[in-house]
Amino acid sequence: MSQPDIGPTEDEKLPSGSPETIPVYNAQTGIRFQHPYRRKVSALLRDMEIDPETVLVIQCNTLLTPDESLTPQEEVEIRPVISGGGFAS
Amino acid sequence: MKCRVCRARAVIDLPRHNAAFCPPCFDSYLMDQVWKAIDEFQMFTKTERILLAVSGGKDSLALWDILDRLGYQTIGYHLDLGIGEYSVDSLEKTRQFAQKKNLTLHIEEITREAGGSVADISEVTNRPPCSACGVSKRHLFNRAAKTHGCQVVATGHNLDDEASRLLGNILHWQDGYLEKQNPALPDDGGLVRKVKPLNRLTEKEMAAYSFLNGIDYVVHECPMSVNAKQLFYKKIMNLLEKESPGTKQAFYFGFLDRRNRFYPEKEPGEAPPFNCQLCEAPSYSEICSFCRLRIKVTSPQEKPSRTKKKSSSSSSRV
Ligand code: SF4
Ligand SMILES: [Zn+2]
Ligand SMILES: [Zn+2]
Repeated sequence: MSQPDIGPTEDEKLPSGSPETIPVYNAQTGIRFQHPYRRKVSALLRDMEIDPETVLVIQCNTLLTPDESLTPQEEVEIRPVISGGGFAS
Repeated sequence: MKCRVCRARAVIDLPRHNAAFCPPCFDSYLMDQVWKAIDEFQMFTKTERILLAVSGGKDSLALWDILDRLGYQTIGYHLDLGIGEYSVDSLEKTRQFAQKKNLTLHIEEITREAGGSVADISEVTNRPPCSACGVSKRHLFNRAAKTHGCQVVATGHNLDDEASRLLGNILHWQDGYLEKQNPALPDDGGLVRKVKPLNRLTEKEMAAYSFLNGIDYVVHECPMSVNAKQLFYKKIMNLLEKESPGTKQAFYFGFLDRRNRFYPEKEPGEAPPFNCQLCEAPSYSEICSFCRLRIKVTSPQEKPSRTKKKSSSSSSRV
């Protein structure tokens, strides 16, 4: 979902020495890419315009809630959960 | 975020319940929701045989796992839809799951049963792919249930599926579909009972259950769903839910509470007057709708343009 670009909040300002990017894997498309590092899951999802209710966020084989901090350098898997097409099955 | 029950670290938050859970407490919550659905709608008993339609996706594999844990008698049924890599993957994941859990699985191929893949049927009959798929599934699930001595067919439809379907049906005032939008449809007119035990749980909850229980499911989407209306309705429901958590369940369960007022329960219908001359299924005409579809797909004049996939087996047991 789109959010106005209001820049990072106080909570999301990165401490010095933070990595610039974090590896992200979209499990539905199979695409891997680097995204600007965000400390919180909620900030990363907001950046990517993703509604937290539509994905699982997984890092180091653990499910993360939106308030959790991301471990720098470790790949974050974004796994969309929305499926379906047919009403009649 | 802390678990609402035990204060351990939470792995999932559920804004609609204003709650968050750790893995064991989430498991208890989820099993309880499924049990409530089965109980409230008297879906099936432990002495009945359940034909579970398993696609290889998160919902149906998780449902199979849950029903097995709850001690129900399940028979898995997978219909290979002939949709390229997606179907190859779906079959593989379903097979692996059945093998790992030592569960019975029967497999059929739509190309063999209907004469063509979903794309072929869609092209020849001029139906959207999901509609072609739905007609075939309805017929073949019912037939498989009878063949394997099952009293009920269970599918993995979840709360998001049901709420978005309800939205679509209401937007177009589809009385015929609204009347039948019930998580437990009794056996009627030669059709076995149909149930949806996951109707109290969202897609995210089912995906989380699958992940936490190490269920390897097909994550990528059926390519035929790209333009499907249901995804659009799901998006709308999720926007509403984001603004006001709980809207989705209030909308869907509110409808179920009022359903009888709008669509009073009918006495079980008379069996359809015919048995299909070709497959013997109960039918409202001499040839049932699935056989008519198959005749069309296999007729030389209507032959679909794409090359047909060769089928090798019609049913197997893992
Ligand atoms: S998206 Fe459509 S074609 Fe694909 S499995 Fe679902 S109903 Fe069938
Ligand atoms: Zn707990
Ligand atoms: Zn027939």
